[in-house]
Amino acid sequence: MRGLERKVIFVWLLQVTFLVSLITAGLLFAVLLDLLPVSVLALSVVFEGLGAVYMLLRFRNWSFELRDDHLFLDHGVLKRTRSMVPYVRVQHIDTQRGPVYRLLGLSKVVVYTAGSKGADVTIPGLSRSDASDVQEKLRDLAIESEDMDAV
Amino acid sequence: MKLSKVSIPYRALKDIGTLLALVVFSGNLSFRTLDFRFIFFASLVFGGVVSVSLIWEYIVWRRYDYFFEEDSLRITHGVFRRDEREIPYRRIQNVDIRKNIVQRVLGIAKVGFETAGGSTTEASLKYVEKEQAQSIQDKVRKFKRKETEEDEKEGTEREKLFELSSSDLLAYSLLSVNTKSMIMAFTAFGIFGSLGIGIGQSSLAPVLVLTFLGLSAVLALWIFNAASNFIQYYDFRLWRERDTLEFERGLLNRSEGSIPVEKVQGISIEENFLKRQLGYATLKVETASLSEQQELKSNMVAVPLAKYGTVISFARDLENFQAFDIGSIPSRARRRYLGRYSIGIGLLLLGGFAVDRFVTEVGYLSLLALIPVAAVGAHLKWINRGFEAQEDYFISMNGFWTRKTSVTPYYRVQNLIQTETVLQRRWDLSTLTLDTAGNLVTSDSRAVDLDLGEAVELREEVFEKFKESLKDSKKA
Repeated sequence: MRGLERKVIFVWLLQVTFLVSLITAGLLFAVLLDLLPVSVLALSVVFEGLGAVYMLLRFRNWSFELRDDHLFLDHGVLKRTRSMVPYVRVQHIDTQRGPVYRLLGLSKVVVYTAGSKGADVTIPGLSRSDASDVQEKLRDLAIESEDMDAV
Repeated sequence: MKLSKVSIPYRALKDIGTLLALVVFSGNLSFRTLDFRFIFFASLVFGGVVSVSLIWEYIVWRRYDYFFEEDSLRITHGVFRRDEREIPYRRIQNVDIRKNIVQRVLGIAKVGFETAGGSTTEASLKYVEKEQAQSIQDKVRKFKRKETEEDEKEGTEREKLFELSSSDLLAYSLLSVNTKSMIMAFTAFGIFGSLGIGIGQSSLAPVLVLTFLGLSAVLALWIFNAASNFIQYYDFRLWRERDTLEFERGLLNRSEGSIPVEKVQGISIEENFLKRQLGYATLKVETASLSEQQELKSNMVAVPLAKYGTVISFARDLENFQAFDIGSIPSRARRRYLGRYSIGIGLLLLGGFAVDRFVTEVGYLSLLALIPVAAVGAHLKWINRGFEAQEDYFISMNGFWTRKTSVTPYYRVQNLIQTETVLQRRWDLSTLTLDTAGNLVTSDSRAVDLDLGEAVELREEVFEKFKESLKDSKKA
C-alpha cells in the first residue's frame, strides 16, 4: 500500500483557507455593521483548525495499491471507503493538473469505469512521474485484460 | 427512404400550435382588440402563417431521407445546410416507437434510436407510418444481429411472456403507491393534530377534523396515482424475441420498447407494504446506461404485477439464480436502528419541550408513546434486510415499506465498494456495494450493516466470484 505525496496537504490547506477566508469576510462584514460581536471572528480560527485536522486525517487515511488484477483504494475520514476496481473494467484514464497542482509538481489520476457510483475513481496528489507511471501501468493492465465487453 | 407524408400537415399544425400559444401567452391578444378589422387581418396573417409553415414543412420533408446501409443507419436532412448522420447499428441499444393519441388517429409514429453513452436520443424519425415504424424496428434488429454474427438458424418466433390482465392492471394501479410517503403524510397530520391542538385544548373535534383532512389527502393522492398507473400500464404486454425483451403499454400514449437481454445488468423484485400483504410483487429489469431522456423507471418494468411465486420463476427464467434464502444481518444492527430512531424522538421531545416552555402549552410527553413504535420500526427494518452470495449471483434485500430484492450477476460488477461511516464503525458494521453499469435498480445491490470482518471477507469472495464469472463467460 502506498500513500499520496505529502505536498497534497498544501493544496487541501489552501482550499480550506480559501473557504475560511470567504466565511471570515462575511463575518467581518457583519461585525462592521454591528450585527455580531468582534469575538465571533474567533470562529474563523476554529474553522481553519478543524479544516487542517480534517485534511491531515484525510492525508493519513489515503492509500492505494496496484494489485495483480485490480486497483485497491482505501480512504475517507468520516466515511471510510475501500474500493476494488478490476482492470478489466477500466474504460480510460486521465491525468489532471490544475494550476496549483502544476506549481507543486503534482498530478491527479482519474480512472473511469462504466459503473454508476465509482464512475470517477480519483487518486489525488501524486508526483508527476508517479502519476504517469500509474497511468501507464493502469493502461497496460487494462489493455492486457481487455478481451471482454466492458459493459 | 422518406418520412410519412402525413407528417407534413401534422408538423405544420404543431408549429402553428406553438406559435399560437406563444402569441396568446405573451398577452398580445386581449378581447378589447377583437373588432372586425382585427379579425380580418388576423385571419389573413393566420392563413399566411399556415401556408408558410406548410411549405416549410414540405421542404423539410423533401430534404429528409434515411437509408439503411450495410452497417449503419444514415440520415440526411437540413434545408439550408446539409446534415448527414450515421449511426452504426451495433451502437443502437434500443429502437422505440411512440405515438400519442393524435398520432394514433393519423396512423403515424415517432421512431427514436437510443444509443449508450449519449445523454439524449441519438436520432428520431418524426414521423413515419405505423407499419413502417414496425419494419424499421425489425430491420435495425436484423442488421444488429448480422453484426453480432449470430446464426440465423434459430427460429424467429416471438414468444409472449406476459400479459397484464385487466384485474391485475386494476390491482397494480391501486397497489403501486409509495406507502411510506402516504403513511408519513398521514402520521404527520395525526401528530400535529393530537399535539398542536387536541391536547392543548382538551377537545377531540380538531383531531377528528385533521384526521379527516389527512385521510382525504391520502385518498386523493392515491386515486391520482392509481389513475396515472392505469393509463401508463394499460394493456401491458411483454414478448421475448430471440435475445430481446419487448414490451408495449399505455392507454393514451402507446409506447413500445425493447431491452436486449445481453445488456441486462440485474433485476429486482419489488414489493411495497401493500403488495406484500396480498402476496404480489413487481419485477424490474435494468439495462446498461440508457439515455437520460428515457423514462428509466417505467422502462424497466418487466412484470408490473403478479403473484410473488410467478415473479420469482419469471425472474429465474431471465437470470438463472437459485431459490434464495436471505441470511439476516447482526442483531446489533437492530439496536443501531433503535438508537437512531431514539435520537430522532429525543430531538422531537426537545422541540416539544421548547414549544411547551416558550410558546404554548403542549402535551409533548405524549411523544414518548413513539418509543414502542421506534422499537417495532427498528425490528422491521432489520428483519427485511439481508443478503446471500450465491455461486453466480449476489442477492440483497433492503427496505420495509418497499422491499427490494436485487439480483446481480457477478459478471456485471464494475466496482466493489465497502464503506463504513463513523456511526457504523462504532458498532463494527460495514456496507458492501456491488456497483454495476446500471442506473437505478442495481444501485440497490448492497449488503448493509454486516459485520466489519465479514464484510472484508465478503468483498474478497465477491471479487473472486467476479473473476471466475469472467473466465466462464470467456469460455462460453
